[in-house]
Amino acid sequence: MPIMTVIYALLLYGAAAVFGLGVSYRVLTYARTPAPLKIPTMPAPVTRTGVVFRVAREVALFESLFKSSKWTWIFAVMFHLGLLLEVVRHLRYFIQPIWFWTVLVQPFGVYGGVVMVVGLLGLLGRRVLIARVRYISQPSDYLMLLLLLGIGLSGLAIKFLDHTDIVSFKAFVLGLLYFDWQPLPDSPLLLAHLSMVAALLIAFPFSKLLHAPGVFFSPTRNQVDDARERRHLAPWAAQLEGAGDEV
Amino acid sequence: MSTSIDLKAATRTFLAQTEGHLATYLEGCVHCGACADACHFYTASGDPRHTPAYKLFPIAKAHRNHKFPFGWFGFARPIGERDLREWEELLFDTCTMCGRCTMICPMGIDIAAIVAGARRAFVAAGLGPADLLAAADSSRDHGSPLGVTADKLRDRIAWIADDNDVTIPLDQAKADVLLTLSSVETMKYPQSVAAMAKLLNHAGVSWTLSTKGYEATNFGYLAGKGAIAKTMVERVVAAAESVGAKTVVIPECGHAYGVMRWSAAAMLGRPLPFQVLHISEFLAHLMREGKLQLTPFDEPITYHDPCQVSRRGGATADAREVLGGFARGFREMTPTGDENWCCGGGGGVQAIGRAANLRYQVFKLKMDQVEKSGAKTMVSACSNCRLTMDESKAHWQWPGGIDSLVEIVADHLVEAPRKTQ
Ligand code: HEM
Ligand code: SF4
Ligand code: SF4
Repeated sequence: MPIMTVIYALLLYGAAAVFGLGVSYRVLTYARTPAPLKIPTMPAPVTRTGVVFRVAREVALFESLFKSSKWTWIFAVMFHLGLLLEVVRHLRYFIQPIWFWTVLVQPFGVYGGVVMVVGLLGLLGRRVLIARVRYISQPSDYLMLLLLLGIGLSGLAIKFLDHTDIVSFKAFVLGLLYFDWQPLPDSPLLLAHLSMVAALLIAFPFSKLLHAPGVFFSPTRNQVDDARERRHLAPWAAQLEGAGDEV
Repeated sequence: MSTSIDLKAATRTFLAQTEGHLATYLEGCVHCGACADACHFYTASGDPRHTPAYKLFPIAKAHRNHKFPFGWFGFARPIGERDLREWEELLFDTCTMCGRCTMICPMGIDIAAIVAGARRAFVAAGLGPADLLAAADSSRDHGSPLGVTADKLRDRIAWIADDNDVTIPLDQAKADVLLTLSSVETMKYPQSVAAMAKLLNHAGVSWTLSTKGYEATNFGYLAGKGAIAKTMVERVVAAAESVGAKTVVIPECGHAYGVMRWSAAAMLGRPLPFQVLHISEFLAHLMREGKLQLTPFDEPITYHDPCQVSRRGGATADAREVLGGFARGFREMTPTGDENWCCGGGGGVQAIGRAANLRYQVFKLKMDQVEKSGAKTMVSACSNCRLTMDESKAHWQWPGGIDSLVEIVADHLVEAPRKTQ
């Protein structure tokens, strides 16, 4: 077994474990900590169904962002939609036989990669060029964009410049899934691509990428406007209001 | 106020809050900066430090340092004195907790709530603007931020009743409705108190004021002093319970309504034994019941939405319903309703002397809105907005009129003599 295969197999197992455990832990925390107050953003839906639609619009259409900034919205949609297409496209490495609908996605998947990279460049340009956005940008904001760009560009390079042996790569991935390791194709671009994906997975539960699960738990968006009708119970909040900060 | 900063207390107070739902917000901010344009402070000043997301940095930093000690790539340092000193002004002077940024934030991050939480940590550290903190202490010790004690209230009410020839029930044994007052009205806009009394009397409401709990404003909440915030709520609840009120009416004061509507039950630790209505909502109810007879009013007027009543409170339609009943010259400004611009003085900023110039800058947005609407007068349903705007108006020597909803309505009651302008 080539040494690279062993290293990458271990790296990917580790990254997947950090990602899975880390994100589950954060999501459990979000789900368990009640919002102390009722404070939906007005006008708020008055029924649960209304809330489901509101959150769905935020996730699928980035509704609020659309209202506030069209350019950011365009780049954000390009990037996220491109990413989504790519993720779906990559499913073909994990499943055998390939599902019918993932086959349908394949031709669009390539565009997905390009669109994603363009979106990322737009977001990066925005961050560098607009003074006020630059001001609130921290090193991790840039690193995250660069990391995703790196993943996108190395992926496209594999596709268009240095076509890797996809069949043996799929064998490697399935081997990981079934604990029957197969050799990893020997391609520097592929190794770079995989390293960056592993880094992304590891960073996920410790970074702003938590916005993905977080958006579902945003109290201003997922609450029903019924503060008058039903008291919102959060015992620890009452405690905090009263005594936590005696001055 | 001592000059040494208690960093540990600040960190502790930050972290006590990020254990809760604030973590979702702090971890979810993608630093996209979309919120900047929504904030009147950024829009008026163009200063990138006024971007809402930037105001979250100290508490986010404390959280990251605590939650992710290894900090990925070593970016999770603890907060230091410099952070606190730099952000003190930003957290107190440049956030009116108006909630406008939350409307456009793709993650729905409640900046106002985080600012309120962060302020507590600054206060715990021994920071915070002295005038705002003093207003909170005065509320605890004298009953109101402007020193309106129960005795002073009695005198003041007797004088207002006398001067305006109106009956103002105080400390009735029983009443359906308990009216509360903002000391801004009691001390600076007594006509508003008289106007509310006229309206409630006209509609035949069984109501009273109470010396047990009369102050609607909650500077404990605004100044980040949780214990005082709770005391203020308890006083109103005790007063309402003692007269058996089914409804507590909040006067023209935005944050008083916000606190009572959203936070009071949680502070109290039990459901409120009454319904909370803002005076504009109460008037809309009376109107629907046909209890307000008004004469038409033709002057071109517009409505300034107090943030805590409209955007944060959800009572956006009520004032319009009331005005629609008689103000034929009513027109909207742009943006309006839930998206209206803040007066610049909410969230306690009105009480911070050093923030005056910022407030004046912010008011330019409002002057522009009103001028474009073609209205001669702007009506507000918050005496704090009104005071802020009156001061800014004086600063710019702006000719536009600023009035209060209750006063305009009371002036047009059928039996009331018309005010000669
Ligand atoms: C439920 C799924 C998701 C939703 C609703 C969502 C939504 C958003 C929104 C509205 C923004 C702000 C606009 C922008 O600056 O682009 C954003 C930013 C961002 N998202 Fe997502 N996202 C999701 C999943 C993801 C995932 C899975 C990743 C990466 C693995 C990701 C990476 C990013 C990055 C890096 C940014 C910051 C872009 C910048 O620096 O300007 N997002 N997301
Ligand atoms: S709009 Fe929301 S997510 Fe974007 S920077 Fe502002 S607070 Fe953060
Ligand atoms: S709540 Fe209002 S004042 Fe505070 S940061 Fe947001 S927009 Fe600005």
